[in-house]
Amino acid sequence: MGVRGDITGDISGDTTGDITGVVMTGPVSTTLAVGTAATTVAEPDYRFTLANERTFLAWVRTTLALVAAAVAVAQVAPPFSVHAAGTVLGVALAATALASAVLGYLRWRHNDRAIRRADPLPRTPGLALLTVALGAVVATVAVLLLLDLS
Amino acid sequence: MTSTTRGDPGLQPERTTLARRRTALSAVGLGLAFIRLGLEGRGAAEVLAGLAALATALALTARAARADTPSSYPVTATAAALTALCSIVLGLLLHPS
Repeated sequence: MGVRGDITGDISGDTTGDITGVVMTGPVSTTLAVGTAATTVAEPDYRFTLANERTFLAWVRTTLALVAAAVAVAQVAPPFSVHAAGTVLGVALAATALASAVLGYLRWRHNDRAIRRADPLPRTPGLALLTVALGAVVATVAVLLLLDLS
Repeated sequence: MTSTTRGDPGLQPERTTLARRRTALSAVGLGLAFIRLGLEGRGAAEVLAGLAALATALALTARAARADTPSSYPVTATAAALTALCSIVLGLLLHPS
């Protein structure tokens, strides 16, 4: 029973880890663990909601950096030799920023709902989209710099 | 693993508050840069973008004031101000004054 309790604690992770460690001492443990699990579903462990919020804040910082890059490349940095390339790049970066702001918020909301319902966290296309957009921007900048050199 | 998890919960709110603060700091820096650009003669849209960035910082710090009672409203307010900022910047890049 004791070994089984330890294994359950490790698998179920942070939510029940602390509680099972204390509770797994006698035959009563199963009932208590189930009761605690039900409570956790109703009001989620605040560590999960806080971690979810920190993820949202990371998306906010990504958005702010993209906005700064958009204005820098379009209005502050010296222009590329290709006509209007800086503006096009800036618009692409600003559009990516807008997408990351919206996707970051939607991701926070979906994760929050999943945490409260004890569902598995939903998959989002946000990271793939961000990667593709940034890859395209970097490739464009590389080509533009090569054109400026020649 | 269990012992580290046991020591961790008290630090989670602090870590979140720090994340909020450095995010708000980035927003303030960006907002001031925008306002300076606008006042140097680039136009009112830059000043507006700067105000939206400062509003984002405000929404983030309003959240920090009541860190122990989680609510979804500050997160929504932050997201709204941020979306406004991105839209203004997109607009000013598409229609330069």
